[in-house]
Amino acid sequence: MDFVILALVMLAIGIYGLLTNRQLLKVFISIELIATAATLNFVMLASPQGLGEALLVLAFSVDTAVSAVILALLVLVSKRYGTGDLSKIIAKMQENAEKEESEVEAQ
Amino acid sequence: MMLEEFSAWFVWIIPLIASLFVPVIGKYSEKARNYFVIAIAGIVGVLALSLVPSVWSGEGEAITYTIPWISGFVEAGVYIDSLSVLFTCLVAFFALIIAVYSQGYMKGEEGLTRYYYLLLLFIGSMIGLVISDNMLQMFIFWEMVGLCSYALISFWYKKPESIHSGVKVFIMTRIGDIMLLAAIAILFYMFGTFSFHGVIEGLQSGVFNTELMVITAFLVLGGAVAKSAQFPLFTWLYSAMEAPTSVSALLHAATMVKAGIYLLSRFILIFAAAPALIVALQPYWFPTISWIGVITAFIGATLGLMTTDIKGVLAYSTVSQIGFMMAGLGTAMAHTTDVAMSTGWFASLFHMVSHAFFEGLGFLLAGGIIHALGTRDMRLMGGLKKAMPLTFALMIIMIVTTSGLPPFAAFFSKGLILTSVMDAGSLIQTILIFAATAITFAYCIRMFSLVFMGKPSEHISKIHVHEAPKIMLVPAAILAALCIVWGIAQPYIASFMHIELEHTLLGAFTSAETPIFLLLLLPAFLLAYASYYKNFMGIRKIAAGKNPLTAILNHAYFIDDLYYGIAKGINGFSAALTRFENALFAHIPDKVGSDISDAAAPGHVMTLKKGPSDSFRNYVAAAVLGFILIMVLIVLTVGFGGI
Repeated sequence: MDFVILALVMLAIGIYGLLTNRQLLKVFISIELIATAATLNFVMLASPQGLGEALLVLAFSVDTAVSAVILALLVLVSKRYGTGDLSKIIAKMQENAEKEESEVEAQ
Repeated sequence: MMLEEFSAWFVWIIPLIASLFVPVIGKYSEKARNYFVIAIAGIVGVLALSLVPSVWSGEGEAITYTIPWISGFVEAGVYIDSLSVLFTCLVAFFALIIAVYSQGYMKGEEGLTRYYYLLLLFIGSMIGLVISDNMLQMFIFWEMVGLCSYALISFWYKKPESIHSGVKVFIMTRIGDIMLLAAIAILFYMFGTFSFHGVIEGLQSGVFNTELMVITAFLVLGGAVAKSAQFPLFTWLYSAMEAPTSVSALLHAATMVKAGIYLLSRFILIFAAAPALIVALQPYWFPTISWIGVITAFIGATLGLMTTDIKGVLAYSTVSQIGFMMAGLGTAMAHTTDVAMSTGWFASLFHMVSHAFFEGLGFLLAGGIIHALGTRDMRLMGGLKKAMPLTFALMIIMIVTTSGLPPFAAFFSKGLILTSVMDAGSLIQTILIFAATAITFAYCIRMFSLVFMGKPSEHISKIHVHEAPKIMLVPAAILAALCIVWGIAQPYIASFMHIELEHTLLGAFTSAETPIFLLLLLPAFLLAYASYYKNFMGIRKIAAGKNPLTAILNHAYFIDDLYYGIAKGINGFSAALTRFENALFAHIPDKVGSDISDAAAPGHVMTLKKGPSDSFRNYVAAAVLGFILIMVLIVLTVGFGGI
């Protein structure tokens, strides 16, 4: 059951990363770490039935596809707001919304 | 392949596949896309109806069909019995109603292809959820309806409130999802199967761990509480009102919030396979459900008295009515271990359908009003009686049904629940639930008088108010007709559900709870009438002023504030951790993702060319450190064999 410890450590690092970081890229890396920890658990627990290999291939391919989409979205978001900092992005979003509201009121 | 097997599979596969075609068709013609959605909803309705005869004529036994899914391990399947067919028919019927209504309500909106895609995806997943034989399959659909709910609440993604509401709903329902997943995992661990019929066989054999099953039952309850917006997780339903009104009617009144009721009634059926288990659940589990139910019914009704948002009233009304259903389920098995003899179980499902009709009707009419006035604030309405006569007439039916006046649907269904609670619940539960029925009447009267009575507000006199278009009124009229008919159909529904009901239709008028109930409506009516027509005693002034009661009601019993407090605490913890980390690693540059543009600036390229800079050396040091850390971790966890 050693892999459980490894998965737990990965989970802990991922949660720590989520707690301390506001950078989109770092947040994404942390989430990936947590997801990988879960995958590791599933795959290792399923291996006695011989399903582990099949699940591994499935999990990796799905994970890759998901990462590709998320990375593309991250690039779009950071291009639009000119920064990858979550708190700055949220502040800018609120600014934009207020601007739009005042425009509507002006009309 | 028999007809019912064919229907049971395709009733959810067809909308799921059709949803993928919506963007393709929408690219060429918007009109074709709209008709396509209505046609699919119609096909689903026919398929759902074709399931009815065999279940009705059957003996109440469930029929299952399975196909291999993950080879030799898990089988996908459909589970046809009266419960799943009742839900399937309700979802299919409402899907058709909303598909037609959306043609009028959503006309001219942006992003309609996305809207219809999510609508069909939701219909497919919701029917898949109620008809699955396999808990894993059910859980996937359970998550998919949550996803559709999130995406449809945030439909107007340019409004910050709707994004915020969508995220809030997603997170709050997620709490329940995790509990349900844990329950499924425990059941798999105990019985080695995900299928309902497998678990039932396991329970019938009598070999199971009773304590573990009780824990499982509580986890299932947690899933239902979050999904069905029950105390203490009910606040998300009010936020969900940021969605288009058609979506609120379909997801947040008629179908998706009932998934919790479905889950509980399904698991009560499963647990009933082992009478010993029901006996073990009677002291704690069932009373917990009924307490949650009556508290939610009371809280929801009181909150409906204060909100000024017309959809907010309907949202809290939904919360309150689902509380009634929970109370019915919680008192269902107090005196019996056989579901077929249980009044509460049937009453809850019967009320579930009648609630779908009257609340759906309420939302459709509110949609028409919002469409005409462009606001959801009831203080800006008033005097709509003359401008919208048809909506006014239909709203009277909705009000009368919601408050449970005879002889409309809720009189019979709510009456059965009250009987069940009086039979089995404690005195406080009985008092709370009767108070909730009285307050229900009061908030209905309040909403009605604020919207339709009195003088038109300034807002209304500025715009030309028009009656809702026909395409929106016809679906509402159908629901209104069903509100009237549904209660009288009670004996047929009981025979369809294979329930031996002691209570006859006429018995509903003579049983003990009816006079109490009707007597309670009188003071509620007088109070509402006095305060909203005569401004008696300045009740409205008290309600508008500042005192502990209004503070509690305006803050929804401070439950949201509690959750925001928890979130704030986590944020503070996270900020403290960040400061700690910065102090610890102050000399290591933090460049990952922070400023990619900085790294690409000309100056930096020059330094790289000149030779390794300080920061470059630091990177290498960090990489080496990380490599060593990983090696140590591997050695610690796997041993030297890992390398």
